Amino acid sequence: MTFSRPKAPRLLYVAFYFPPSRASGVYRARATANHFAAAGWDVTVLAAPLRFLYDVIGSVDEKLSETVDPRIHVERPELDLTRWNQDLHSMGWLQGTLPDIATKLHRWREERYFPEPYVSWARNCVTTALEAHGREPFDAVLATGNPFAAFATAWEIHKAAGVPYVADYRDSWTLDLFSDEPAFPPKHPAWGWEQRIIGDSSHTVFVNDALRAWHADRYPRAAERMMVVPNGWDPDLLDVGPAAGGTAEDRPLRFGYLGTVTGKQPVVEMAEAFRQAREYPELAGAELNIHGHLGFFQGSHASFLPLLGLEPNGEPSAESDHGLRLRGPVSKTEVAGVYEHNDVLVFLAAGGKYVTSGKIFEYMATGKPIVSVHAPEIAAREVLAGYPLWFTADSLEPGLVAKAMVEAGRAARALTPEQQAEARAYADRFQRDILLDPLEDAIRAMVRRPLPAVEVNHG
Amino acid sequence: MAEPAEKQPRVVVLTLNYKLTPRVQAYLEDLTKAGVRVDLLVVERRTLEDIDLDDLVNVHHVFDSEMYGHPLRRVERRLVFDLPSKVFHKTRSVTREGERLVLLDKAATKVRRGQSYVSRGIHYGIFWPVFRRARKYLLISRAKKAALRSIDLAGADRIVAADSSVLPMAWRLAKLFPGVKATTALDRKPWVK
Repeated sequence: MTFSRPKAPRLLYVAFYFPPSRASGVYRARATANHFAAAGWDVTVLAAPLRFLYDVIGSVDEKLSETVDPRIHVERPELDLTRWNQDLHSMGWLQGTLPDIATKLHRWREERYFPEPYVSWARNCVTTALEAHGREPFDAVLATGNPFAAFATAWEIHKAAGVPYVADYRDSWTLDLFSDEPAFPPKHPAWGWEQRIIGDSSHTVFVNDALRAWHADRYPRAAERMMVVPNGWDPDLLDVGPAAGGTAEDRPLRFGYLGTVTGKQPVVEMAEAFRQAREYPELAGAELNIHGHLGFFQGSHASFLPLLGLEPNGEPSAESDHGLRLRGPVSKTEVAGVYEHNDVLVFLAAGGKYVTSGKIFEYMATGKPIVSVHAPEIAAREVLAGYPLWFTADSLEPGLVAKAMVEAGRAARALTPEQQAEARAYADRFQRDILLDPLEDAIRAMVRRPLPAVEVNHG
Repeated sequence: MAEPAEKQPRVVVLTLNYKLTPRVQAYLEDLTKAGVRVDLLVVERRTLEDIDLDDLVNVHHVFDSEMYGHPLRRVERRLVFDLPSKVFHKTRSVTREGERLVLLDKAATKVRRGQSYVSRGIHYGIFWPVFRRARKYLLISRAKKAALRSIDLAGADRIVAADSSVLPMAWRLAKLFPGVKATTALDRKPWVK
């Protein structure tokens, strides 16, 4: 008599933003898929179609695709691109002649099922998943939002095939992070969907405890099944090199911000604080390098330039140069160089008590001084509080922020390799693989069949 | 032999909004800074009041003034505002004169006020909501004629529908000129970096 070896557990991961997308949420999805593959799972990812990534949002980083574990199988179900179509030649008669009616009809057709523009993708995901499940069953489904249609996909698969699922709230859905208020009016269909999704899920995952608590309060019956998996940082994407301490060069200090600058962030306060900070001798001639896009859309940079005290061409004006410099966007695989270049990292963030921001983990991983420019009650405090080189004014008052910047500058000048190593040791606990272990354990426990012994293999 | 000079790119921007939005203004500015010539079709002269445009922008109007240029608006204006005004003006020129007509003059003034109120009610309450919805279709033939008459569409590098009002007309032009890229995107590529 022969016994067949139990097959590897099969995970269906519904992640719209997946490499080569360079959307901010893609790093969590990439790391999650890689983590499960390394832990012995047979991972299938359902991601956005490439036509959407390249032609509609145009936000791709092809180098990032090379960092996806080759054992992961990626499927890209179709998405109806009608609402994003800008090419007049390809518009049909209704869209070209009665655009308002065509748009309303299209929205009604999609949103009567789920209140989001990605419904067609979600429907195709369900079809693709059920076909694949018929060939070889999945043991669990993990869905990450946004878009939250991914959660609806997981719920539908659960209803149709009984596969248990986990909803990973990488982003907030029904809570507006900028106003701390519900994002939808009371009778909006999003509430019904969220209740169904959280109610039937095996686990619901959040990026910080404040968000978990808000949802636990709304859905108390599911509270026990809620967990927190913070964002963390990816050592395979960030080679920070040896801890060398502060710069030995006799040059003005370099402050750096890495990420997209948005209208919700306290940009004006940051620019004014930096202007005041440069009046201190320690920061004479210092520059604040902004590495990233200004705004999310083409042409949106124009409105930010005056806020930053820059000329329409992005250069500082001759008579009022306050040290701000636009350095342009950076590929994720090149960010280590940006951190290396700057002495102090500026944590500019929007929102309040529910916002952690993914970039703070990477900032900490460098072991360099971090100065905060955000609302004092931000959720990122939970994480930053233990970091030995964190400088905060606990306020957005420019004079106080300027003082925090000066203190951070002093710390950068005096930084020893030992201090930097200590700061990095604190950040090591936020390595993505470490943070993902409890999620992998929880999903493994959901599998209803014998599994082979766990052998971690990072490709 | 000298190299032939590189052809200067040209974009046709169509808009039927009454005011040029800051988004469109920024678009025109970026294109002209990059040396792109622009044919801009706007609804009337007033659309560009107080707006400085680069010399590379060649402006075309559908009407001098839509209010008196479009037959439907012209008729409505005449019937609802101008004609009653004229009638009352004539009436009062008579009633103002005689001492015995004071009461009649006062009554005429009151009626004039009432008429003015009713005219505004008809315009803003009935005519305008209907016209506003139908405007983009009512303007198609005039705007299309204006565009076809004064702009070299076949030789353009791109036709851009800069607002939703102009989309039906732009869609028809796209069908007429299948070789010209036609889009609703205020895309600066490949001319602006």
